[in-house]
Amino acid sequence: MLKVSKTIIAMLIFGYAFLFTPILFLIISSFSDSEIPGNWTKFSLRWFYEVLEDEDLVRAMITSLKIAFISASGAVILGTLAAVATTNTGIYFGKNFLTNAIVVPIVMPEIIVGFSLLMLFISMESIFQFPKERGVMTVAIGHIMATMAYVHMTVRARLLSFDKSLEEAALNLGARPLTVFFKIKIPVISKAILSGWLLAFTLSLDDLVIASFLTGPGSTTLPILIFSNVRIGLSPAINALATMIIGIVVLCLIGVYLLSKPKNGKED
Amino acid sequence: MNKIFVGCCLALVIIGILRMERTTKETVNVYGWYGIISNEILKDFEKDTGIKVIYDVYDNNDSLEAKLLATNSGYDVVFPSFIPYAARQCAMGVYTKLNNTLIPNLKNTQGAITEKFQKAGGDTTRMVPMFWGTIGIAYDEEAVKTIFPEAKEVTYDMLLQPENIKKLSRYGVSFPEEYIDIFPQTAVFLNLLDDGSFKTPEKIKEYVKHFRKIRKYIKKFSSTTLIKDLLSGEVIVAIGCSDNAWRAIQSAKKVNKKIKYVIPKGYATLWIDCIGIPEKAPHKENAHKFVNYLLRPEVAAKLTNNTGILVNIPEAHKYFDKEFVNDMQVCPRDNEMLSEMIMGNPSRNSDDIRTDKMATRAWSQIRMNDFDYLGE
Repeated sequence: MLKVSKTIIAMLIFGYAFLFTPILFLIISSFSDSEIPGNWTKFSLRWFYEVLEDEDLVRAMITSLKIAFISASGAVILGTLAAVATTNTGIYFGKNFLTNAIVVPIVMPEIIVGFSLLMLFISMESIFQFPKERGVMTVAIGHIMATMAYVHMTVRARLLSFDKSLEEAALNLGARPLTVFFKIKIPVISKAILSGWLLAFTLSLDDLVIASFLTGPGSTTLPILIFSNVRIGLSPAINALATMIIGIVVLCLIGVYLLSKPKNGKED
Repeated sequence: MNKIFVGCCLALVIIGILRMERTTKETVNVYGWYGIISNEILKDFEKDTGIKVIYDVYDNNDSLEAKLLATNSGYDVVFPSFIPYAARQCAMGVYTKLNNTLIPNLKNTQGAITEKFQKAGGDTTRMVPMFWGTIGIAYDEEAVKTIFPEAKEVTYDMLLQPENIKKLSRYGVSFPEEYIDIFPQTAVFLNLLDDGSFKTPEKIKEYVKHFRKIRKYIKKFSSTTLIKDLLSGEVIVAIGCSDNAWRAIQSAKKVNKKIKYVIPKGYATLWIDCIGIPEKAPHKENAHKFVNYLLRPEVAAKLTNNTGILVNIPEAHKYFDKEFVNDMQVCPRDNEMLSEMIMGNPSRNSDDIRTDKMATRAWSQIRMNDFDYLGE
């Protein structure tokens, strides 16, 4: 048994409390019967039923999940390809520039990303008649642009520690570069891809700024709806919704953990 | 296996993009505040006309304005606040001229509010002054009684007189977020209101001077959280709009509190929200049908009963909830009361815009409690 000093335990408790108290408080208050968010009266599930009956909330949640899914998938594809390109040992024109430029969306304020994309879509519309209307697709494009850099970072980190000799051996044995990519590289970096996907998914689900610039008819996302809701006075249904989302996220995380658990105690 | 995974992702992205391009049946795209038009009304409209309503929400007028000014917004019907937003947007040519033959119910909107709207320069050929309400004081009756046992109701004297608000400040007083909701009353209080605008440079200086004395007694500036603030006891007096106050009164009953709303005589300020159809609306005809539907007295009354926002349709009054109609403060009806209400003027020229900016700056100084620089 490892001996742990009291200071470390205290720090640990403080750290966890700092991280999880607000979430815990939110989860507890979502089970309250009270009309006022954050006020405990008695246990009830009524706000959960109310969430499921509220068409606007459910529709906004579906829109948000759809956008998050599309943009996470798109970001993973583009981000992975970018990472492969920037870690390529070959020297080609503009490689350094690409490596640095791809990080720009991370450091760029979201409001500028959103506004510049809006301007782009407006001028594209007047020149090419496309996109005809802003909506789910334009928001997804914005999110792909913003989250691609994060996927690139996670995948690139994995690729940098990737054993080059595996690739060389495969090539030596007659595998074509594409086969090497799918049979060697993708399996090795699959965990990085998965975590990149989850990261992009969460970032997209969470985004308000870019979305509020790029939405059009029929694409109100959940964050926009919650923000608009404030005018009427926040209902405890939002707490219940948040609890549901946390529940889903926790389930996903457990799933990911079980999937990525090293088999036979061996790490890949 | 990984090929399959990548393939699936690609396929889903493509399906997703294609599905978005599909055309549906007749639609009308409405962009409005959260919750002002209930799903029931939208469904009834669809049943009636076969037109599907796509309802999107925004959280403030600025989001709406950004969408409208960024050319083709894709929306057919929007609900901007009259001053300063709709007035300004109308002057920029954002709204199309309404086709009166498609909106026969437009005649229902005649009345004192429409007159006020026109007097303030509202263009009724492009906008319908549909929703309105007042700015007044909502307060927790019992809590205030313990501090001012003699007072029948809360007055602006209690909120703007330094020694009075000092007594209330222990329990929390909240003021509105925007200057337009409080400067007119301050002008009345300081005896500065005349026929001209309430925001001339001299008057604004007076307001700042006055707020300097009472700023430290104001707990928060918020227009949106009135209900929560009053119910949770964070504040006991809040200046805010009548519809929020009405919902607070209703929710308070469920938690055994008594909240009251008053518009003290001479201090009542009026706000109006309009309906407009943007110039580039893709479904103009459907938009007219939708507006016409909303202007039916029985439909309009539903809007009021759901939200507490009054509709500018005198005939709808008979469909209002009894309790709502009986509260003369929340639902002021007689013409004398209405004609007395204060309403600002929209900005017309560069001078007005300059004073607007000055008022905004003065108000943010007040809010931030930073009076070092008293702008020229």
